[in-house]
Amino acid sequence: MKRSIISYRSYCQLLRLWSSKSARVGSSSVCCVKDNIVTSLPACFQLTVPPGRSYCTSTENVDEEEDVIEDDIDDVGPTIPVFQHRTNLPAKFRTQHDDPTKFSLEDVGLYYKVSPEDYKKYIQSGQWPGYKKQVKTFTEATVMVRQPALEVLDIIENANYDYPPLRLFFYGKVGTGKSMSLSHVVQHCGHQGMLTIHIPDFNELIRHRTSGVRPHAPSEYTDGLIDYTDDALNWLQYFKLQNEELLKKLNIKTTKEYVWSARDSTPVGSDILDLLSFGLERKKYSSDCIGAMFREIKKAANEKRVKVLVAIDGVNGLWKNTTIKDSEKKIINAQKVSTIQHFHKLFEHNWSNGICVGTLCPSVEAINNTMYENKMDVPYTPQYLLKKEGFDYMDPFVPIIVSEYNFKEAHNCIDYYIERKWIQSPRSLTESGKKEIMMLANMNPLQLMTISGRF
Amino acid sequence: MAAPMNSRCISCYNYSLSHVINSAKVLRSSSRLVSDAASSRKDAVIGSTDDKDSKGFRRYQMKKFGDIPMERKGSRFTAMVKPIAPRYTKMPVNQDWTNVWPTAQTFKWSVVPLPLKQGYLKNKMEAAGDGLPPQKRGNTELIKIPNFLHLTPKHIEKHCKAIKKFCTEWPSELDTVKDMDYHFPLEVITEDYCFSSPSVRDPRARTVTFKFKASDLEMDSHARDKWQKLLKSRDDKVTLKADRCPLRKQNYDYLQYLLTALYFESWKVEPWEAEMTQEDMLDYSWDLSHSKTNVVNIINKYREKDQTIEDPTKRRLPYVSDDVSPDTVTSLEPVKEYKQSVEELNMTGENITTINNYKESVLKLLNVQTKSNNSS
Repeated sequence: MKRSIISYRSYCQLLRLWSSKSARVGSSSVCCVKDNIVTSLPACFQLTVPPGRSYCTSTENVDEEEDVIEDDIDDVGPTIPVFQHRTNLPAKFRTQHDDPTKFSLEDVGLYYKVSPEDYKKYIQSGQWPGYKKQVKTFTEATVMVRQPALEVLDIIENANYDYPPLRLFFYGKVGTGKSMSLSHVVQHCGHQGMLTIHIPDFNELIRHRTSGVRPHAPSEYTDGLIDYTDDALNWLQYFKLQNEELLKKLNIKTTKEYVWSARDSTPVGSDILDLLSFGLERKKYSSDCIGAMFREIKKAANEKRVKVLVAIDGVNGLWKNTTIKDSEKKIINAQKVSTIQHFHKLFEHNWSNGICVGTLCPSVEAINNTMYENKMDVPYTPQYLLKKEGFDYMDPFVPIIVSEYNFKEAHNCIDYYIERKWIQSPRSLTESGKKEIMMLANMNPLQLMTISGRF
Repeated sequence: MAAPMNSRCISCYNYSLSHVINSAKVLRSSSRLVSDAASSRKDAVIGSTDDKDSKGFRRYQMKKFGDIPMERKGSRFTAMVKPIAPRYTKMPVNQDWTNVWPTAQTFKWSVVPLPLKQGYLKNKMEAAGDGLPPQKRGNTELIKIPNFLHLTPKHIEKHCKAIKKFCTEWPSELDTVKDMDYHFPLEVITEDYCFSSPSVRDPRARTVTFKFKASDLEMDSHARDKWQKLLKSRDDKVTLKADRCPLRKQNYDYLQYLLTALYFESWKVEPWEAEMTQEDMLDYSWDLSHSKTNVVNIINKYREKDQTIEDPTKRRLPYVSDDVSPDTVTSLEPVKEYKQSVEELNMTGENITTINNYKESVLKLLNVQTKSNNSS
């Protein structure tokens, strides 16, 4: 890792030369003020900003750059007071409002702020560790509005819910923002009053844990299947966090008596929240509780009492091998795990008033796969990831590509990092410096996030 | 080891000696002046009387190529002999190359007037000074490799001229390759060998080869699939070769039988072929795939729901009429489009075009509504 950073550095020097030249040719000059000057300047001093870019960045300390204040002052353009330079500036990389349900195509590429409750509820789990660190550092959670998420939301809003659920899958390269788009969708639907059945990270269900074997037990309900005990419990907690308020309002009653053992049973007509709390109390029956709950939710959905969103991050994991072994020391497939099976069945066409969204993750494919050294090498196309079995099951579905940032999005992202002082190096505050970062990251959001930390 | 070395040295010595004497003789007979060897210098060449200027001074003449300076008269080493210039230096530019190099032969550096280089330098010290691979002079690397100096266009032209009297005129109907393939779909290749030996027979002459295109044979999709399986090749160009029988005629007959048997065998439908699934097929066929069952199921489900709705404009799938049965679902236009896109996805592989086509066809198949759809 250290070595690669060093190579970045030397390569950076070359790139800087290149980008500084190309920036001058393009003549997209950036107006600029040095930080310590800003405070000392009189408030009446006006600074011109070229149309298009609203954020002011500094270059004065950089020898190679020639863009200084005097050059741009004569230009005619919208003027912004200098004292607004850092935080009070109504910068263009933020949306006008933070309501996740009201974004249109005009907001693509802009950041919206997520409230801490929503962040905990919908966004946090399943994201890259780097993103969580950034949220902690920035003291705010923001999500970029992106076109694929809006495309899915468009379909969700206009779908006809009398019919069996549609299947919409995000696909794209590693680190392009599939999980983030899915989280955006889940947050939107949660705000719209839909019941969200969300697995934020399928990796977690099938990958090996260093602490030991994933806790499991033979299924009580169906012979030959395996239950995840801890994972089912954790998921129930997550489900409760997302949907408790809605379930209280809905007041769904069970339609069947569930007999767990000689002593424990849930009678007909008990609240679904009781079922949930039973699953939370008795780890042994958590997995079966999920199945029973889904059965009731499906029924309620069929009666048009509630709309349901099924969102699974890493749908292709439904057919992967897990890391647990049976009594004959054979690795168990995810199809043999009842906890996963319950989610698997949600994609069937036997219910209505719901919609299924998912992501096809190359990183899930890379787990326990010796074919690929790096998960960046795994092909990201839908049919490859689903394999024959998965494709046969999911077909027909709507694949939606999540591609890398375009120029506007990358620019906004870097501007945001500059605003949060994540990017501080003086040379990267210039137009050519931004170009350099974009080129190094190849416009990949994850790479941009990683690389920007070095500037 | 020592003995051959010595003998080689002696022979070299002998050779050089006789060579020196011979050249000395030539020099004496050819020179126009009796040389005054005592007064001559190594680099100055004695000029003739014509070479004096008007005042009687001798003109200075540059040493010419091949001139032999005299040295140590009376000794065995009368002259420093330079080797005769190689042949390529004396070649006129407009010579006929076919006469110089009439047949296939190994490379001769002194004959080929090309600045060739060949070989490998272990270090820079080996280079002649230019740092490049060794030149052609005495270069064994150039001798090792085959050359085609006997097959220049000029050579070919001469060959063609020579055998033209044996050829008949090409039929004008067979001008293009397409015509040839159309009129003569089957190509039969045999080889004759003639050489001088006690027996004129050659075992290689019995081999017969059939070449043809499988697409020229009339076959349906099943027969073509079976044909490919029987031949274990998906190539359109087929080559059948036989040398199992002792006579050419027998081999030819056998190949004819083989071709006939293959053709009619691939047309046959055995009872066990009905059990074939998608995995047994060489090509992806949507009709056998799980995708078809999925689509038929989902369209039937949508249709059942649609039939409960009175108003036909509010139905989800307007292209499905009431009388469509599960069997005829596949003849619908969006289903056809969908089938094509899935086949494309499987046959040509996944890329952005095929995936987008698939997406579009699914949106059309399920009549997915979006904002842009509704507004338009």
